[in-house]
Amino acid sequence: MIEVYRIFQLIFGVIVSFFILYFLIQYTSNYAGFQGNVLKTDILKSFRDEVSDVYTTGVYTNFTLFSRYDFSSCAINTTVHGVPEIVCDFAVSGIPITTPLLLCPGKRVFLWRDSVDLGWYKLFYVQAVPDMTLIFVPMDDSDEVWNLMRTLVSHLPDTSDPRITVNIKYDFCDGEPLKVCGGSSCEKEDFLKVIENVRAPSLRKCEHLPQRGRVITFSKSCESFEGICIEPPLMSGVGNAYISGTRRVFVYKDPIDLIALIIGYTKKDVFGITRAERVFDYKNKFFSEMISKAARISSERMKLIENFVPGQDECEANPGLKNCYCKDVYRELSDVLHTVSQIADSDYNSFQDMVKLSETLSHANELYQVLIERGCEYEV
Amino acid sequence: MRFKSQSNLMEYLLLIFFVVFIIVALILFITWWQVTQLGMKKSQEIEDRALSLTKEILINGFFVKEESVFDDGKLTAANTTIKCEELKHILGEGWFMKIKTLDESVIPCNEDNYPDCNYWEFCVQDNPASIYAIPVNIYRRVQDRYDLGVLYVGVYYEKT
Amino acid sequence: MKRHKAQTSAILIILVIVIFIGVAVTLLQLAKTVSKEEYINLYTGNLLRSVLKTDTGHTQPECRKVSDLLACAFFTPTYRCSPEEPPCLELANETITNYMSKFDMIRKNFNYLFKVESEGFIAATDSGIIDIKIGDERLDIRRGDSLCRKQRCWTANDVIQRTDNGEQYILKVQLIISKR
Repeated sequence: MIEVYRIFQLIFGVIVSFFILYFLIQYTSNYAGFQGNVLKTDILKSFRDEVSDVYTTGVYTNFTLFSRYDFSSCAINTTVHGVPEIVCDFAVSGIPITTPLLLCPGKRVFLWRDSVDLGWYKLFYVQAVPDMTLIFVPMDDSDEVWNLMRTLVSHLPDTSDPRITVNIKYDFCDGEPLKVCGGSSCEKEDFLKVIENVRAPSLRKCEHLPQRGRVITFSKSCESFEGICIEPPLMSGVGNAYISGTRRVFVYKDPIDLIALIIGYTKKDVFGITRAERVFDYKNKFFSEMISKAARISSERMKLIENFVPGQDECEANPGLKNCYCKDVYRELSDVLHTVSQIADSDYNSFQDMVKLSETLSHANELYQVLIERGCEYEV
Repeated sequence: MRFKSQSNLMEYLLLIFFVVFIIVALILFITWWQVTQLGMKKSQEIEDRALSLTKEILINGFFVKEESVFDDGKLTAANTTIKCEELKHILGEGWFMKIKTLDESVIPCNEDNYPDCNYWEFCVQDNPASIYAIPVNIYRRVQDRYDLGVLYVGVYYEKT
Repeated sequence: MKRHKAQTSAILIILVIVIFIGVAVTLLQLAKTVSKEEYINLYTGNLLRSVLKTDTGHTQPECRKVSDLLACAFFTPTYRCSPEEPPCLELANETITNYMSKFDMIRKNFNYLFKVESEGFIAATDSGIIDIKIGDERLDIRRGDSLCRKQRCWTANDVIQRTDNGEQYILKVQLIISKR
């Protein structure tokens, strides 16, 4: 016959076990869900730190932690009162990011630093791009189109280094991808050589795209196309571009506007907005703000320095003086940069405004080059 | 026999009490560990941000001629034309920056005393912060000369 | 017997609790920041580059920047940048010591060693291979009794190029710092 004491032990043991198990299960299930989001946020923060390193050092790298979870919904949004943020569907709030970044998430992304050189100011930014093949379809063989292609490719990544696990390739297409580099698509430098040596327009739209192919068509009239269609620049380097799936007209004034569209491409979010639109809007809002402030600082700097360089009369009297024949240029450049600071963040969807901005930036660059030639300024 | 059973029961209860006590202690320990970790993580994040900001400022075209070489004209111009609120849109909130040559005197720069000055500051407040000091050069545009200086970049512990 | 067994269990349980607390305290002490390493590397690199780039105030090309002064000290140690000044070697020593003492006020308790050696060619006199050392020579990694064998040292490297009679010479400059 079993003892009462034994029964007591059994019952007590069951109660205690139940208590322990109940707590463990509840804690684990809450923690697991919570931990998933914590890990995703940690990965995004790690990504942000990696981007910052690439930005400050200029050394390119791979980032592969995105393969652990689904980050395809992530994009960068500008905010009204603060710095831009990386926002994703799974996160309640965004991760602030001060580094200028054009982002297209993928299982693995290549991070490298590019720059916008305005002469008097160089704006560095980072590109985060996944595996892709860029298919160029030039429907005409004019100088503008060929120059534009060359400029675009020069601002896109080079993944020929065997240590880079991400592949970004380039190719032409005429009905079918042409595989112009020994029967396959090209690395960046090889493609640039092809652009230098071959000039022939495509006659047909592109079909049978490779996996992760992105089509970039150059045509005077973008009526029916797939992917991105770029019209040659109409005036002062400013032109229109289009994305399939949206009627919006994108006004481009520099190659980075087009790079933003290429990196974003056609994938739509839950609201039906293409990633290209989001990257383009971010680029124009954030980069323009930086250029506007840089122009304001430089304008004031030119005014300060103008007071300390010799005037025309002094220079003629003492030919060996330093900083000669620069006073008037400093004054004019200060005024031009002041104009730049005022119009840099004007409506980037307005063709006329962008023509004015492009011409003013060009003028500022020319004046700055004059100062460099006369030994009054340094190359940035 | 009865007393022996009661004694066994008491010992058993005492044992169970200790087991439950350990479980509760474990729960409290884990909770306390998490809270401490969060606090340390926050402190670590502030330090990491300060270092990251330092590296970004060392190449920021608003202030520098080239990496780690600040342009005194740009610094003075930025000081006089750009407000701290505007810099927050680019570099975030809760930070400050000071830059000074190695001279003993401190002469804050403005458009009136440029270039005979040696100190610039941005977004400085009287709050505790995590601060990094880095040796830099300051290019004196008017004299065409490179001076030695120090850059201080800090992130405040409390957001203001 | 059962009473003794229960008492043993109770003691064991208390021991477990004490071990827990001990582990927690140890783990907390181990959780130090790692970003200090990155900062000191950045500091050391910038200190070397900034000092080398600084203008000394002299106008002759041989003495214009600290890097020029070090090259002068290496190749022509007795050359005088101006009649009132000491020879290059002494002037380089004074200049660098002066700058480093100012930085010592900012970043306290650090020893330093500036070392200049030839790269790609051998510079020698009758008394041996030429190199310049300014600062605490115990930090020299080449020494058998180097302090860097016992404690953590941070190093930054740079080069100075100098052209002499059409020939190009490269000098390697190394800055080693360590906590006092």
